[in-house]
Amino acid sequence: MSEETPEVSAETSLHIDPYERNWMRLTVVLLVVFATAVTIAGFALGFQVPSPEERVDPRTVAIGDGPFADPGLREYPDGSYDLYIVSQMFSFSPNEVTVRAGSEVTFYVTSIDVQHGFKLQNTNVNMQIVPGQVSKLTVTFDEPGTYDYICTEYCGSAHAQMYGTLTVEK
Amino acid sequence: MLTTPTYELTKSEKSFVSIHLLFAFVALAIGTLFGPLQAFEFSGVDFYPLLEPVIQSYYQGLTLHGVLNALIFTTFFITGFLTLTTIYGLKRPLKYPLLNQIGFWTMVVGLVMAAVPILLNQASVLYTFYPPLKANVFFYFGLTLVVVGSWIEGYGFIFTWREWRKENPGVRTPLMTFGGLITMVMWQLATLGVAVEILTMLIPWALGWIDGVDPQLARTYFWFTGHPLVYFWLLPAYVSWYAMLPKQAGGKLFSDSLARIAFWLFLLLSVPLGFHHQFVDPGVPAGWKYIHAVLTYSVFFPSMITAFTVIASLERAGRARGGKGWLGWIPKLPWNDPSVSAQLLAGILFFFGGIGGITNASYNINLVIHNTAWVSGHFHLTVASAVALSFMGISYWLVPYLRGKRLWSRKWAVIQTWLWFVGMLIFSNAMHVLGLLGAPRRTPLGEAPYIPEEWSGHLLRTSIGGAILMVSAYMFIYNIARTWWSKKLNAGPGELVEIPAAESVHPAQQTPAKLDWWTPWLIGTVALILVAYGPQLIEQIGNIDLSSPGVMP
Amino acid sequence: MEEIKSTEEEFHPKGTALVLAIFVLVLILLWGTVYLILLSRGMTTV
Ligand code: HEM
Ligand SMILES: [Cu+2]
Ligand SMILES: [Cu+2]
Repeated sequence: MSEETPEVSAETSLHIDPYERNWMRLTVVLLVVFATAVTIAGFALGFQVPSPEERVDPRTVAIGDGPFADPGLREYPDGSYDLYIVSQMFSFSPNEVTVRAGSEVTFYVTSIDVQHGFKLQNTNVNMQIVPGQVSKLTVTFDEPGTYDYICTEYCGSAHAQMYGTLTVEK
Repeated sequence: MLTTPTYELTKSEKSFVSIHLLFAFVALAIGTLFGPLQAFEFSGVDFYPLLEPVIQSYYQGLTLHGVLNALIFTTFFITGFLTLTTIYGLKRPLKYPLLNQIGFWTMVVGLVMAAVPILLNQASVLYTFYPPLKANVFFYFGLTLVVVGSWIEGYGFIFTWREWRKENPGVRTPLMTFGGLITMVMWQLATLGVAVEILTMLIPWALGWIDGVDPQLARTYFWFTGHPLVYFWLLPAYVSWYAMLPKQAGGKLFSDSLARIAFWLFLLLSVPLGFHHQFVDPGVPAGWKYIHAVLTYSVFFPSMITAFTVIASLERAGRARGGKGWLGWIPKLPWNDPSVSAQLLAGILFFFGGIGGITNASYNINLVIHNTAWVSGHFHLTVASAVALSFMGISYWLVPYLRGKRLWSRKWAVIQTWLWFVGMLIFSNAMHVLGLLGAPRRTPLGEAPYIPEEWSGHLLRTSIGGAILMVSAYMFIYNIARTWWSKKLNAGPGELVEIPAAESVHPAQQTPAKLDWWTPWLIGTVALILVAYGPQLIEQIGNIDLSSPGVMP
Repeated sequence: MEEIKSTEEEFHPKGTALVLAIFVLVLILLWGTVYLILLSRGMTTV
């Protein structure tokens, strides 16, 4: 041990190279720029992520008289919709929905068995579906067309078959 | 001038490290097989019917792939490698070798206990085992034992370091040991999440003591561990990049103090940001997701320090080897050393992994890629490249060192690293693109009914990349196996491999003593975890609702 | 110790700076692309 032990009382210093110091500054600037862009998109432009909506009992949510007992569209006088969807191994109900172009649709999705995913293709609707919780997001459909909603979380043997279709008509 | 004192591991120390690696390589050899099969399935080439007697489904295979590669290969390799960096860095034997033996064999028992139900198709729940998908209880027991075994090995390192500290007051902990200790301390804190999940919820449920689980709370527990898990994989690779690679390249570490600062920041920041995996969860408030997004951005900072320090160390080495101009030092690096080429290529792939990572972490941008093939493309650049390819590179000197051998073929090894690089560029690029187009992950895309025709080119590219990766993976396994067992390769005098321990430009002893001082960092770490997780844990545990009975898939 | 000693004082990691500058450009480009994809796919409000 003894002869290889370095001198314990050596002068200490961080020895940060000026190039590296500048690199660290640049990294911070970059992160601040990215964070600002994300914050603006989220809180000023309305690109938001789901937040707690409601707790439900997965064993009873689809029976009785709550909205998930009769899933599907609810249209409001102003032309907007609420869309209630129940996920279960290995289907969404309903699995076909039609709405009018230009309408605002609020998705309420829950699961009565295991976790699922709900991703509406070509939109930003992408939610984890967790039994006992209701996942909610609102979007407006400007473009007519068909949009698949697919299950993006492994949920069992026929997971790959689980999807539905939303049609936006003129 | 200082001479680097060498320390030769004893025979039993070498065989103790070796047996870790043996388990790691066997796990990799079996686990990796399913990767290409998955990639082939994407373009409609389905081998699963052939596996039917043993493997019942794509998902059973995917469970094996995730568990064996991401959990078992990594954990066994890491505990073995860090045993070596502890002993060799401190130049003393383990304080309680028996303790580490117990830790290791606990992991082995756990591995067997988890593997049996997976092979019997009673735990096809993937390596994240999200309830209420239910597995045979032995799967949960087994995983618990693997984690506990790794804790015990970590305690063994800490006891050894404390003994060394008593003998060497005031001396900076050697960097390779220091990085290993931080890894294990971080791991200890991080795994509390999954330990609570399994012990308080999943095991009682799988045993029938409680009727159901709270899947949202389980996710929160899981991702408390799940994100730092990636740093548990990564930090040992950083140990090699900082404390060994500069030497292998013929130079020195550019900055000892920044290396240590980076490791401390990883301890501080690895845990309190797990909600970035739950951005689209229904049961976590958006405000907390945003806070964790910002914290995740901050952990990008030590990775950027690492990038600079490691590359500057390489540049210095390349210039000493005659490299001129802005980039002329790059070709001068010893690319013909497979251990170096593996780690350099791993580092290049990690650049792209980092870009994907910062994208994933960007709060609402997560809506674009969550649970798509993008994510899988991303972590094959991180864990399956930055980490796995670096571990292969380490193995290219470590196995010959431990076994007293020459590597069976250095040339094949270099080619192997390039094949991994090329295969992974193709594979991961295709997966990222597929994800942006909307392809889900964890899905046999070859049989999904909603796949548009336009995706087929990208699906084919995943298969091609997968095929190249498969060749590369088994070239690695073959090279290591030949080296391991062949008697003809016994190294003669002068051919024995040395452990590449890098010095730093400014000797470690000149690094401020504060950077070798645990208490304030530990207090800060625990405090930050309490701030970032405390309120949500209180809220979610307070509202626990064990109403999901679950299903065994 | 090795050959490097002589160059020790003058070493400036300018190649590293260049490599990382390229990295930052690629980062901004790719991250920016996905950010724009997010914006192009429309708002999601809660
Ligand atoms: C020959 C090389 C490899 C190929 C071709 C490959 C291919 C794949 C593919 C196609 C998937 C996605 C499956 C899906 O989402 O449905 C996947 C998942 C995964 N791979 Fe690999 N892989 C390889 C090596 C590795 C290695 C070395 C590791 C880690 C050390 C790894 C870790 C993972 C993990 C953790 C998953 C996710 C499993 C899950 O979603 O539950 N892979 N792999
Ligand atoms: Cu599914
Ligand atoms: Cu993470």
